[in-house]
Amino acid sequence: MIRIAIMSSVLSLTACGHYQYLEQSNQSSQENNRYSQSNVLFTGDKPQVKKADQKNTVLKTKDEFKLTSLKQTTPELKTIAPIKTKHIETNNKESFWYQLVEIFTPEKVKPWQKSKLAKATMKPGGLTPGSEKFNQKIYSSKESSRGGLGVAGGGCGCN
Amino acid sequence: MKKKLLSIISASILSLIPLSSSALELQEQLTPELIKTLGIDPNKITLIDFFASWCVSCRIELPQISELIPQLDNNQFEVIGINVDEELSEGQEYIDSFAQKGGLNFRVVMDPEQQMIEIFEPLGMPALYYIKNGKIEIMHLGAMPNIDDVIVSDISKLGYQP
Repeated sequence: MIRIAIMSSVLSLTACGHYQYLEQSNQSSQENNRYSQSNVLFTGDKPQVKKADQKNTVLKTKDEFKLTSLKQTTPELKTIAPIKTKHIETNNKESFWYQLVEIFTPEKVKPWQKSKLAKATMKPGGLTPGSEKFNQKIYSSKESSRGGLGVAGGGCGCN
Repeated sequence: MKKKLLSIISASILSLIPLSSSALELQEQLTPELIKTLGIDPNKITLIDFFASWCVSCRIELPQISELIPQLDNNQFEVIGINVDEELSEGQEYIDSFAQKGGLNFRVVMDPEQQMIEIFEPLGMPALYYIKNGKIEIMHLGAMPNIDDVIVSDISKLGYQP
C-alpha cells in the first residue's frame, strides 16, 4: 500500500511538472520566432510547437536545423583549404633532397671497383715490405692468428 | 631522450636513402640489347666470365678455362670473358701475360667503363654466369677450386651433349 501511495505521488508530481513545462513551452514559442521565421522547428531537447496558424512549419531534426540555419545565417561560408603535404622526392636526381642525401651518404665500393684498393700502395704498411712484415709479426704474436690482411678478405677470394 | 632523438634522426635519414637493387639474379632474362652487345648466340650455352687484373682468383681460373675450351664443342658452348679493369692498358697487359701459357682461347670484351658488370652487379669476383636462351641458369660468385670440372658438370646439367 505504501508503495502504491509513493508511486501515485510521483506520477502526480511528474504530471504537474509536465503541465508547467507545456506552459513554459508556450512562452518559449515567442523566443522561437526567429526559428519560425525560417519555417523551421526542431525536435529534440526543446519542445515541439504545433499551432494551427503555423501550417507551413516543417519539422526537422536538430542536426538538419543546424545545417539549414547555418546556411541561412552565414551564406558565405569560408571553406578551409586542404593542407598541402610536401612529398620529398628522393628518386629525382635534380631534387634538393636527393643531392643533400648524396652529400652525406658514403659511396659504396662495389666488388669490381677494388682495383685501386688492391694496389700495394693502399696497404697499411705501404710499399715497404719490412713494415708489413713487422706489422704481421706483431699481429700474429698478439692474436695467435694470421691472414685477413687483403683488401677483399670477405670470402670472395680477390687478393 | 637522446637515444630516442638519435633513433628518429637516423630513421629519417635512412628513409631518405634511395634503395637500388637491380642486380641480375637466377632465371632472369637478359635484355635483347645486352644479348646483341655481347654477341650471345641463343642456340649455345654461353658462359660469361667477369675478371680483372687485380683479382688473384681470376689469375688461377682463367688458364684452366682456356685449357678446357678446345676439349668442348664450339657449336654447343661458348665462353665470353669480360675484363673490368678501369684502365684499358692494364687489362690489355693482363691478357697479353697469358700469351706465354698459350693465350686465352675465348673472346674477351673490354669493359673499362664497367657498364656490363654494373648491369649484372655480382657480389664477388670472379663471377661466372651461364646463359641459355637469354636466361641466367647458373651463376658462381667468388673463387672456386677446379673450375674446369665445375664447368663440365654445369654444362651437362644444361643439356650439353659430349
